[in-house]
Amino acid sequence: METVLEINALTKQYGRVRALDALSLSVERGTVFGLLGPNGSGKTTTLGILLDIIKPTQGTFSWFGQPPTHESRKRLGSILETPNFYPYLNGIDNLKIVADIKGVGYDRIGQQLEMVNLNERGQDKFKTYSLGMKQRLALAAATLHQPEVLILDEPTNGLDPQGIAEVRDLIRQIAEQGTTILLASHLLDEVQKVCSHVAVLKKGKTLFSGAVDAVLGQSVAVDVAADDMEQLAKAAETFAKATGTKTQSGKLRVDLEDGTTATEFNAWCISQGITLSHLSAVQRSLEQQFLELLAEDAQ
Amino acid sequence: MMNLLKLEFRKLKGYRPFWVLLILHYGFLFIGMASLSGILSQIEFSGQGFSFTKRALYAFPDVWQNLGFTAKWFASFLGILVINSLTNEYSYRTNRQNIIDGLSRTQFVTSKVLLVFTMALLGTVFLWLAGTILGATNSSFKGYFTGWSFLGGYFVSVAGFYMFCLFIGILVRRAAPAILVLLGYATIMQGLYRWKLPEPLLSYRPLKAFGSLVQEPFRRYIPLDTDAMFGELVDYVPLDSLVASLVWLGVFMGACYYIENRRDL
Ligand SMILES: Nc1ncnc2c1ncn2[C@@H]1O[C@H](COP(=O)(O)OP(=O)(O)OP(=O)(O)O)[C@@H](O)[C@H]1O
Ligand SMILES: [Mg+2]
Repeated sequence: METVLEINALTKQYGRVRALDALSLSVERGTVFGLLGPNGSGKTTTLGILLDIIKPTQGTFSWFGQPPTHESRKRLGSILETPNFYPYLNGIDNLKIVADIKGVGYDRIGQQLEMVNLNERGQDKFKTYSLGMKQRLALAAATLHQPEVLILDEPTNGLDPQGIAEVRDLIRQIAEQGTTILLASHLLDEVQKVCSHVAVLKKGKTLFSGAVDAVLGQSVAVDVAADDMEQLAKAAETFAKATGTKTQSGKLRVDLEDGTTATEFNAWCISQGITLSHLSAVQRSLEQQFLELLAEDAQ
Repeated sequence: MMNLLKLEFRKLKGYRPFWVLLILHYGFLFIGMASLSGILSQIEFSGQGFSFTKRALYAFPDVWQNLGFTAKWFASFLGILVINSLTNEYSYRTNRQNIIDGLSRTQFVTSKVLLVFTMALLGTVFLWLAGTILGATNSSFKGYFTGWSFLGGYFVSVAGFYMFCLFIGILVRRAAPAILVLLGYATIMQGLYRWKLPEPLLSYRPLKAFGSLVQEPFRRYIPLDTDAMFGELVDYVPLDSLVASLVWLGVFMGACYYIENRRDL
């Protein structure tokens, strides 16, 4: 697979704050790559450096296997934090400016406005748009020239639930066309829903980087219940493939080793003379994994 | 290059304050130029006034310096438009977006430098047109092709001042503080220079050099020259001021590129 982005030991020092600490990453073509991390972990700083609006203290990166130039940026479509447009110009004129900079024609502007449902507001000034409309205009601008890579920083920030769903749908549509997407977010469920790969940052370092499936693992947990909960808890603790137990809302949550199935646990309970009154397998969420990763690192 | 100028024009096209101020400026300037004789005849100093005929005031080649000096005063106001076109980009954060979209930082500065030169050129063409019209209607075309060095001097003088405004804008990034810095510079720094710099160097400080290209011409209409009071008439573009101005113009332009290419946006 072709590597679209390669980051080598990027460091950014803001006075005493080290926002990025020798960060390395690579992104393959066609993936939806989530950059995950708590507030202040360096996500925006990373994207800012990749887009030449922040100068790195040390380290290098390459786009499409080449040292970065403004020409390579023309192949990207990016929204960093808030949508930035000329407030006194209308939507269409703002997109024309983007087209001029990218060096592409104006012919796709109408179709882009349609894609984000703004065709009726194209003649209105940008300053009259609602936040959601601004966000959508930014998406239209970022995908105006059919970029090879789409870079998004907190794309659903400030949107209502419907707006969030719409933007996620748009992102999925764009990804389906084969566009590589690099997405920074602290919303785990957002990343879980749209990303195929993920890197977890903390204090400017990567804690983990790889496929979302790999971070979620094959491991499952089960929620179980029986008439005698104490006996069940003892049996669960003696199960060789259990990695932990805890009681929550009347049920026992048993974390299992990678590859263990709920059937195996059920068989073990039967062999211990326990009949289960409830058994359900739960897929571990990225949120749990994420919190575990951060907790492991803190130790 | 043309693309960058086109881009700048597209940005300004829908920005009404820019065009309103520009048109008002040229309107008032033309009125000022056309009523110059009326204004000058109002001015008196120690019981003395200017003595001139309207025909002499607008006669070629004197008209170039007479009107050039008048236009220079008005042109300073347009420095605000230069500052504004730049600081707007910072406050709307569109400069970041331009870079993100694929402009290089150098190209971004170049688009603003082109705005500076275009505005200076526009002013110079206006001066040429106004001079031609007012000269031809009030006087004759005799000597029309002499004294055009003032048009060149005017261009450098105005371009230099606008470039200085651009430099302040890039340095300060916000409109109101930038204008304050500009005014503060004119008072505080000028005083500081006078205090610290030896006399011969004083005339080469930036704003002084730009201002010396087209010097005040009206003293030629003072009938009894009380020499000591007004000093000599400089009815040419001084070469040393021209060299100093071009150097400063280059320095401010270079500084704009240097600053913008080095910092976080
Ligand atoms: N201009 C700046 N000056 C000083 N420190 C900064 C600056 N910008 C960012 N930082 C610091 O760098 C660190 C990383 O910030 P960054 O904005 O990259 O985090 P983030 O991961 O995007 O966070 P969030 O999820 O809140 O957007 C933080 O500690 C922040 O305080
Ligand atoms: Mg951020």
